[in-house]
Amino acid sequence: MGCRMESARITVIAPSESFSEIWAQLARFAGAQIEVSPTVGESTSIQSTSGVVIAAGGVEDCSIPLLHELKAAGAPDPVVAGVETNYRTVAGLLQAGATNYFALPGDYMLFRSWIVEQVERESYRKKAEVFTAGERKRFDFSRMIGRSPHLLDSLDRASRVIPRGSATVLVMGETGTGKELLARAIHYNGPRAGSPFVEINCSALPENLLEAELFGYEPGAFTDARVPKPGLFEIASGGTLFLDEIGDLSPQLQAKLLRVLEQRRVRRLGSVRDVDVDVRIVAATHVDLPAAVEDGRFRSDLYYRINVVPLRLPPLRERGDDVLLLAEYFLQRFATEYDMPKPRLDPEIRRALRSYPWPGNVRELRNAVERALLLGGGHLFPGDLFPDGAPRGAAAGVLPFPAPMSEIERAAAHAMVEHCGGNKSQAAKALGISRKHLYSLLSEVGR
Amino acid sequence: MIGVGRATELLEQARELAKARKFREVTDLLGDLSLETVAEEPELGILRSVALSYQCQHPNAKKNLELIRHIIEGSEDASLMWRWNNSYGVQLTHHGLLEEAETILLACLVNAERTNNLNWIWQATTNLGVIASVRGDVEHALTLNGRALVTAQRIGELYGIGAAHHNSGIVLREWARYDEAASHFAQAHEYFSQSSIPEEIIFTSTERAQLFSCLGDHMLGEELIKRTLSRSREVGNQGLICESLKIYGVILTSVGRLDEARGYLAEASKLGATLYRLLLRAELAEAQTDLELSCGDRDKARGYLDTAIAHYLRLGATAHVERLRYRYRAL
Repeated sequence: MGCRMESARITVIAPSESFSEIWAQLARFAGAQIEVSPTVGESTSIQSTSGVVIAAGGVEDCSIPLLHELKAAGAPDPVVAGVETNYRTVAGLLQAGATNYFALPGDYMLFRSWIVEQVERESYRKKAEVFTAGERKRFDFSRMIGRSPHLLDSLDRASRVIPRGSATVLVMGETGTGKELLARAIHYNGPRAGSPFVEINCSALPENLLEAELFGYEPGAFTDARVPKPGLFEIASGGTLFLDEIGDLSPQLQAKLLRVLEQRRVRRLGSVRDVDVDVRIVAATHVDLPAAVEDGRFRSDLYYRINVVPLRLPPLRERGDDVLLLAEYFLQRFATEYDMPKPRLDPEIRRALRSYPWPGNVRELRNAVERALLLGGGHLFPGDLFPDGAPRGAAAGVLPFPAPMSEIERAAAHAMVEHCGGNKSQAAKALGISRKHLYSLLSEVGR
Repeated sequence: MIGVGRATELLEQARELAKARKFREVTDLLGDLSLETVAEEPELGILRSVALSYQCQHPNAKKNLELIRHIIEGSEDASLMWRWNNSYGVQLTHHGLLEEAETILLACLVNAERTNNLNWIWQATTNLGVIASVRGDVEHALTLNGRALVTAQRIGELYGIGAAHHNSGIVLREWARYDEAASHFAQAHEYFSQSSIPEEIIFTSTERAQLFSCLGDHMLGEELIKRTLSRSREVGNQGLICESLKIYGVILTSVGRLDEARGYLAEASKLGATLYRLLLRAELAEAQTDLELSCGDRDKARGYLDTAIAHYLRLGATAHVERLRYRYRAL
């Protein structure tokens, strides 16, 4: 993002010549443009300024009509720089709408600090615009790689959802198919792009913490709640809330989420007041939700509420030659990054890429290409695509027999995580142990 | 007439350098900074501490902050006071005073939220996330990093987005949630690459190398760490060189090339002794415990384990101490 941003602008309304010597040095220090005008009407920057200063310099009383005039002109809240230290005069200025008062020269450093802060805020506002534009380009639908009919159908449906900024979207697909990428594409190409994109993985946190994260809390709501904290629904206001792995939500949180979706209001834990929220929900899951509804693991009313626009991302094994297009893309990317020439995908590599089922989907393909390129030192060998055909998972290996119970437990934990495609919650559930216990087994080192 | 003095000129230069993240140059520029000069431009004192901190000179950074505290308070500048508190919170974290650090940084966060200063919210949240990570409170760290991420997006701070992912990746890797860690490191790499800060890209690469090894792909881990070590030497960042040497040693231990591992870990230890990075020292001692166990020298392993535990305790990282005691319970 190497684009040069225009410096922030500070507008000074100076009815007299007061302080004329300081503007140039302040502009230089803060890296800002400072426009000085004798009247509000003569200022050309009042609508686009980052901050307004009334340089009263001895004629503080004249500032009150100026404050009214600035308010009428829709200027940002101004500050007043003067010489008066009489508190009644200053109080009058603050009552008339000034947000601060600096008595110069004593308050010069504080005044300079205020200007720097306005410049920084403006700089971040501009950086945010550049970031959003960059993300829009990065997640543009036309840049998504693939020609398989299944994928194109999903992308077409997704692009039609975009203008409807509030429609809830449900993205389904196996791990590594690009559900998050699609969620970002929907956000950054739509009308909510300038507002936050907030993501949370519902399977990554225990229920009580997830509830506090989503809805926020007031002090005293629970032992550690020392300061008020807005929930992610509030933080995402105006933007998109991406609820990844929604299929793993507990029944209690499913009920709470349903209430928010129906009423478009949230209540922080420990609060008695509801807050309106305006967010688009994009939910994603690798779980077969209709089956989960059938089994009673997922509420049917919530399912119908989130299934407004269902999108299914096909697994890589069903996308035909997309695997080759994606491999080419990753090759180019990693070759550039590691400063290597981009090797060709020869027939043998192509065959290997096509014949492998890619259970980890695009994410696995990305890793395989990076691996092969790095190990081959710029050349591609089919044998480098996969780590010795070894199963994924830490310290995975052949279990010796006879083996101590701790070894068997550890191996079972790794095997189940692998079986569940890396989903630890699901693995813990399948093993009938807590997530904490599972993590402790996974973190153990075999002897 | 308000003139521009030598202190102000110095500040202008230091700010430019800090903006470009040239912290070694900031330290050189402000090497003989007197309290009189800080009194003229209090921000100089804060910039000096930040620069010292980036070079792992945490005791100096903390001492410097303590020396200038009365000047910052006397300035009545809320912005400087906030920055002082935030920097001091970071130094307390490095010294293992987690309770005190958390109290200060929480106050910073509340202040930042009250004034709706997104840059401050991002910084305070990121620093609180680090405290949660050091404690080994994975879920809490993840929520804080998630919030830091959203705030960094709102101000378009690519470095901040990368850092949030990087920090989440580390805590997930440490607690064996490897697949989730991989996803975060991939994103950290993406955003650090966009923000073009070589050190950060290298740092994420060291972590990815270790992760690949944790996932059983030692060959890829080794290839990546070899490149990373070479890049670290190119940019001359001592902390990164030490980190890369350590991970190289860990990977070589995993594949049983113990003599080579010993060489890398010895070099890392030598370098690590010159840096005030307790976490790195603790991890180094942990790596040496593994190496000695693999060599069958239980006495040496026991010694390194005690050292690792002592460093983690100094950092206040009690969950890590518990993890080590459980992991090496047979020792």
